[in-house]
Amino acid sequence: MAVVLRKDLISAALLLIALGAFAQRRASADVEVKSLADGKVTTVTKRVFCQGNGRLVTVFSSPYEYTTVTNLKGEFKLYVPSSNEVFSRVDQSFASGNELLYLFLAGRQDNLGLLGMGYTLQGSSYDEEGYLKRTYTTKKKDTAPTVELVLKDYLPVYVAYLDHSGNVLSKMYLSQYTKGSRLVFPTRVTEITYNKEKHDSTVVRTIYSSISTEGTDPHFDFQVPAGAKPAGNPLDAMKKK
Amino acid sequence: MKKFFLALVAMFAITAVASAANYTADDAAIDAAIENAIDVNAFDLGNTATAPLGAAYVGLGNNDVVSILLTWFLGWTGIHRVYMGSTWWMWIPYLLTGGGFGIVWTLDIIFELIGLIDGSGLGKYYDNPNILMWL
Repeated sequence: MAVVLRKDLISAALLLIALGAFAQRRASADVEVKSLADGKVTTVTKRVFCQGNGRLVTVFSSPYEYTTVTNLKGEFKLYVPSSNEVFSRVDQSFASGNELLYLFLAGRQDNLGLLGMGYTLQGSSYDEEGYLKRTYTTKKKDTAPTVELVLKDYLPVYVAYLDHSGNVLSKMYLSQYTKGSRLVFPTRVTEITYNKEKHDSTVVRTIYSSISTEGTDPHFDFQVPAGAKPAGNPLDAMKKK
Repeated sequence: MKKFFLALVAMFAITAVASAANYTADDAAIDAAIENAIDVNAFDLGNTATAPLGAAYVGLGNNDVVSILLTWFLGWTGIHRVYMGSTWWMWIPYLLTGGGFGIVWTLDIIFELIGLIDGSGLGKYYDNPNILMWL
């Protein structure tokens, strides 16, 4: 009886250690996002600090300097240091589960979080070149009904969002994977969104660099200062110098 | 004006190339289009949002921690495999054999723990149609 109890205790301790190690995983990366539409390009640069428990701190350096903190529930705060103002909001579109770095850190690269979005796997097949193509569908009204996810060597390389007629709404290419000691991650992500009404498309190119799994940077534990003033409009707060 | 025209031509090229049935983008064409485009400082919160996926995220339905807890406590029923996106009938062989006489159940736990500890996660076990998910 005592031996059995001891085994159970050891097993439970191992489980807790594993879960604890998972929750404490950390990664950070510099991100440059260039959005191209109508021959015009905008650039956003930032550094993301992501934890296995879903806490995500993003330090934006241009076009404005500010910091955001969010989590898996979309409990979002935007802090503008120049004016010491904070904007708070709860919105799933700001949830850290949308961040690619989090999806890879959490081991969801296999389905890119689609299962969490309410999609279910309908089928999968290999093509002649060894690409694994998976088709996901959902009945939710606020999102694409079908998603095609293509993996090569178990890493996602292509995602397409389709409408009810099978037309591509948007597609995303993930490439130039880096294989660090603890994190495999695409350093180049290109997303193309088609605008049927304008017969046009928007291209968003995201480049990740300086990817690190060192968790010692103090930004990981960034907290909005207690004395920060509530901001009505975050954009106005950012423009204040 | 010339730069704007070049950017539009490059955008057309990107769209044409991207419409082809392949899984790689034409990086050179995209870089050229960005290079030739006019830099604007238009600030849009949509650009700075963390969403890379183009679809609204509606919650964390599939969770590694839940998966491993289901495996730990109810693994002999195979319910964890259904939760992890395997075929709906996967619980039948597990339940009939008591999780492969406890062996498959134990190995499921071990491989899931390895995934959590070595940082690779459980992603490779999701949507896995094989009875032995770790093979």
